[in-house]
Amino acid sequence: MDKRRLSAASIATLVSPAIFIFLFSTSPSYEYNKKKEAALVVSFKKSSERIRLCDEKELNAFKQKADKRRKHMQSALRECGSRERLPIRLKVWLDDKETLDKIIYPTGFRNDGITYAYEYFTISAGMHRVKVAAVDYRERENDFSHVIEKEIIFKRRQIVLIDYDRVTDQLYLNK
Amino acid sequence: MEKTLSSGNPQNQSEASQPKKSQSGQLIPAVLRPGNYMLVRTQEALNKIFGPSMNPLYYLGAITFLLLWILIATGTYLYLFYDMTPSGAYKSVQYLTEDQKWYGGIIRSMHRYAADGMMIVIAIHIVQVLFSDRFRKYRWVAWISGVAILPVIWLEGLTGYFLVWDEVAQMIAVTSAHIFDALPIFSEPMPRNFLKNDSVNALLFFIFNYLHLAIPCLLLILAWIHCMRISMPVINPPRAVTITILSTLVVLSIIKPAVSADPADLSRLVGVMAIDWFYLFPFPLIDWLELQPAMVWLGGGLLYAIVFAMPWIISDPVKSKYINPTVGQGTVTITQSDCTGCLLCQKACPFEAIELNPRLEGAPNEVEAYVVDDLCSECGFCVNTCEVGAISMGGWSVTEFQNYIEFLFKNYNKMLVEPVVMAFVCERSFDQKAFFTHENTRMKCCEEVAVMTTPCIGVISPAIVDYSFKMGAEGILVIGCRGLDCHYREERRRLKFRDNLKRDRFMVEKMDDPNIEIMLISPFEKEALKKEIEDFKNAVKVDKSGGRILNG
Repeated sequence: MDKRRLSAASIATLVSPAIFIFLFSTSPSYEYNKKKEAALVVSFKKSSERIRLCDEKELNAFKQKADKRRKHMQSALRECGSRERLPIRLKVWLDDKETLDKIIYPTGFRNDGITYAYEYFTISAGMHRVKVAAVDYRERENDFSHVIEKEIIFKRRQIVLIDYDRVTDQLYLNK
Repeated sequence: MEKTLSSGNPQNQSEASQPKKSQSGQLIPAVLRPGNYMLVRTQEALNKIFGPSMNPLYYLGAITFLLLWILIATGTYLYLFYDMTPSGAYKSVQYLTEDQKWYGGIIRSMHRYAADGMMIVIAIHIVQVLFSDRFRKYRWVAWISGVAILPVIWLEGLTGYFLVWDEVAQMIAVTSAHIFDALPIFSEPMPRNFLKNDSVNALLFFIFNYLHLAIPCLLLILAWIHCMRISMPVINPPRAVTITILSTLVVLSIIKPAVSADPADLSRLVGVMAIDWFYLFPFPLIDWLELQPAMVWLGGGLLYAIVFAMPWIISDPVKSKYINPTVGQGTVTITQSDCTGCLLCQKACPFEAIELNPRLEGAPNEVEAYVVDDLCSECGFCVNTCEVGAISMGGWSVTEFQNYIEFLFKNYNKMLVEPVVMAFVCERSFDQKAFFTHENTRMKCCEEVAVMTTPCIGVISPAIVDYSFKMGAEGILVIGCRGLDCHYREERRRLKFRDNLKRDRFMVEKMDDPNIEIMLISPFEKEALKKEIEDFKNAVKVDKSGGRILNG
């Protein structure tokens, strides 16, 4: 068995890194977000429209094909029309100032999946006028199908979330 | 390395064939020299406090292992009480901290402070390895695996902090999610996992919990790779050091128990936090520098790649005219026809560079040794272990070493005084320029001392020592580096290892011979060393005339 002993000086030296742990394991403290800050998060997931919808001829053909199948197999048929979906144009105004204008593409290699939006804005606490607008975007389209416009009082360090409700098909404030 | 002596024919070796000047510091690449100077000074200072056998700087790897065992033991206890759900995680940690204050709380604190200690020790270990030039060439595997361990430990720390699910965990989770989101591999934005309190699900906690348990397994594998090319790796620190570290952790845990911040609340931004700077320093850094996630990946990746490639970025120093071409340094070769398959060279090799092949048909022994060039450090430990002279390095086998000693004692320049002492000197421990004279065959301070420079004093074998006495040496000086200052890892232990070999048993007696002295020194101890050499030489001379006997 190793019976070598440490002198008082060597114990003190060996213990000295503990001072660093004592000091730097919790301090100096760090202010990650300022006291008067708040945040607006615009985030949702939404299935946008297909780029090309079925025309009447295609729809009939599809229905006939579906009818030939048993009921539980009908859903396996790919819907008619294009597979690729439209991107979503998202616009955000804070206190009537345009802060974001972005086109978000659907997920998937063929852009045929769900479109996810996540935008984060740091703002000062207090009252702010917030307007968020979204649309399944076709070129040169300037009208927005989904709009929410509200005056919101942001408390200190509060995170306000604007989300999309699939059931009501509307943007809503999720406080 | 340049070698001016023609091997195997010492009769033709003139004194001029030895280098004119030498300087040990030149062996370190220039860019590392200032750091090396500071490192050696620090090691020296700690040697004075601890003594070389207990100096914690020589046990940094072992201390890291000790802290890892502490982390595994304390972590196992904490895990018994941990609730793996978003709603229960914080409460279960609070239960350990407050309701079990005197055991669970202390264990939690030890877990945390051992992790902090590990970061400190690893940081010092990296600096030490870098500035002592022990990361290049045959050591590249240890460097690469060590560099790979670093982010793994950091990630382990982060997952540990996440599991508490307090405001610190919230900051880590949200910021990390934003950084990961910059990678184009996730279809759903990562921060959406932390949109609302109810969007954090138990599955996420399960994943983090799993990571926190799985990463130590990966760590152990990497640690094994880290050590695999080193024979006789030190993985346990001395008992006194272990006890002191354990006691320190306990006392620190009592004085300053680790506590959680407020519980995570995803509807609020995190504010002022007491963060652990050893693990969480990148987060404020990113915030201060206002780095975009892509920049974090780019900058971090570039920095990491540079560290990773260090063994190939830093090249050998340009050979100075002062560098002494050490006798026998160069490629190691084994003459198979002479190899008896005794395995002694394999046991002596510190880097497991000698492997065995089945012996060719007809030979009496079952195996024969061969050298794996990529692993060979050219330290020379194996050369003089081989009693049949089958191994040679740079053309020097045990026979050539003996011939050179004969040259030093019998065929020296007759203008010089007769040598009395044979000194074997490690090329790295010694400021050769300050000490050598007469074409590097004698010590400046005392010309009766003949010198032979070797890559490491681990090269010196009983046969060499015995032969020096036969040639007329009255005393043998072996001068090498102190403790783990040895570039090839603990030359002293290598000498001791040789003692333990059965066939070297007579060396045990020789080591106790008062006329053999082993001096383990630092390059800065010039004056003390001069005095030691002079004292030894004088004592040997007195002894020769029937005077006092040395203590050894």
